[in-house]
Amino acid sequence: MNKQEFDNLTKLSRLQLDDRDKEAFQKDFENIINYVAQLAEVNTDDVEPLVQASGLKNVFRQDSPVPSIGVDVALSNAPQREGSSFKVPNVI
Amino acid sequence: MIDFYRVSASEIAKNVKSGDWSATDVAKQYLDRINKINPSLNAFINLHDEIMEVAQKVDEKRKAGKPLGKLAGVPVAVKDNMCEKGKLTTSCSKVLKGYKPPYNATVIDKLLDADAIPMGKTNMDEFAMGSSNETSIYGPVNNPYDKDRIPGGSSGGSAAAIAAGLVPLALGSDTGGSIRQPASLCGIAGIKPTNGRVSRYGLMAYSSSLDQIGPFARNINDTALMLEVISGFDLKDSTSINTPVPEYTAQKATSLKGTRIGVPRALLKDGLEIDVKNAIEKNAIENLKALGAEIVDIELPHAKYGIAAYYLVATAEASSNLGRYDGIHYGYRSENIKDLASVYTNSRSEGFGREVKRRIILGTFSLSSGYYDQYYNKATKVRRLILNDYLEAFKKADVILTPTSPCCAFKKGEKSADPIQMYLSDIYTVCNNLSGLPGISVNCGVSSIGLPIGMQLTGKAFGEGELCKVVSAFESATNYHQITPNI
Repeated sequence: MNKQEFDNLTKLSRLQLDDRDKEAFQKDFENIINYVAQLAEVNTDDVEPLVQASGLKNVFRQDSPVPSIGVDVALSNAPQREGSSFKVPNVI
Repeated sequence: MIDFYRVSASEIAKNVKSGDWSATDVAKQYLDRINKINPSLNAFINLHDEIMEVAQKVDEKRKAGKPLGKLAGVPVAVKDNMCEKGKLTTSCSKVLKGYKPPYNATVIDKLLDADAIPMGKTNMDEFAMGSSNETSIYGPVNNPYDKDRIPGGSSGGSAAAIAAGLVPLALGSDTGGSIRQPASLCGIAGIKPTNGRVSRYGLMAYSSSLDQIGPFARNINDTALMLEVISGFDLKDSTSINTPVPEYTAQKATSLKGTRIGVPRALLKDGLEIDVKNAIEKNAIENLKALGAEIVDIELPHAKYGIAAYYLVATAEASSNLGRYDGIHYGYRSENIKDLASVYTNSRSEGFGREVKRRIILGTFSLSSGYYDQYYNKATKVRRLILNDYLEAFKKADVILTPTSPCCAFKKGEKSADPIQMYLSDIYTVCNNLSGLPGISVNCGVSSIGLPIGMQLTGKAFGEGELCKVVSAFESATNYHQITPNI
């Protein structure tokens, strides 16, 4: 993986690394990728992926209203709020 | 005056129910002990303000003639990634600085319904990402057996608190070994239940298909008691499974005649410390055999790929789950912002620690276009093969025995420079999470320098009762569970 590809990954992750971390992470990353590459030796032809082990399929419930925590409580941890909304910088 | 910290949780509950002991006296003594000992361990990071009021209410409830719950007056500790209404809960991350959840996790409601006394929050690796408790923003936890060593992770604070007698019961969470490995390194018992057994509603998500909440205690009866209280179906967790909760505390035995214990010999050959190997062969296997168990050889041929599959699956899910920390809804927001995108990027970059960033980037990679089939998808197929290995092994065995960790508690800083070495601490534990199966770690000896060694038993899905039974027999014939550190 070249530097540009790695930079793109951090961008996709919405992270910015300082130069020291960037260098260290890229090195770690290569080691980790080399390590996980051992999976290639496992024959997985005709093997169904297992994304979770519970065996559950879609779980549905009635679409009926239940009490919720309310706007004030929901906003109680907001770094910035205005009235009943989360406040963010100008978008446009 | 009774030393409450030396007695079991079930004994405390029994005596508080009968009125022989008061919940207030018990809580006060534990609180004093925490205040005295915790500074040398850093196991608790926050204590609740109203501990004595909660204890008083339990006493009043009894005096009013109302029945008390199974954990009447029992002090409990809760890992910092489980939401408690109005109580600081941060996953030991700067990104959740100041966060006070507006609701309780289901497990917290269950503890309160059982009249337990939540004492406070315990230290952990940031977002449960680590095997040594060194990635916490609150600093590392010291192992009660040797303060220069780590307690294991990620639930290191809860495990150290139990080992040091700061509480008789604690909750942890386990995504790749985060209950069992610290239980092993601190010489106590810890269960990762079957996925779906305990509701994760209110648990801060790391990897949703792997995360599970479970109990820590000093002996199997207390572990079973807490598991009994927190288990059960929950509509609020769509992965919760609606199946009856057995009385785990009633699963006892003094003989293991007729029980088949599978041992994957190939996994005991190398890569583990000699003291660990000896403890498994001499203390664990020999005692189980003496109890009448039949030891059978089994094979788990894909287990060696567990770590590789785990780090692709767990980080993929983490990269998605941790997308919610955006600096907008709750938690930390950077002051260095110029537009919306910089709120996201700068809040996350300043808020997350290095290991969390490393895992988010790795997860983003394994899910990204062009790499998905080669990495994430491949890992999910290997995950299927790991589960199939267990299903095959369970045709010959009722439970499976392995070490919990390949090594005893290591020195702080020893593995932090090399992520792969750190990840390999979980070599024996990750496969349970990938396959959803329950596992328990209990102490089975000490190393030549006096550090605890854990054995892990893996059960069939929803086979927690069988695990409790086997361990209760083991405890009836041995005294490894009675070993305590000099605190």
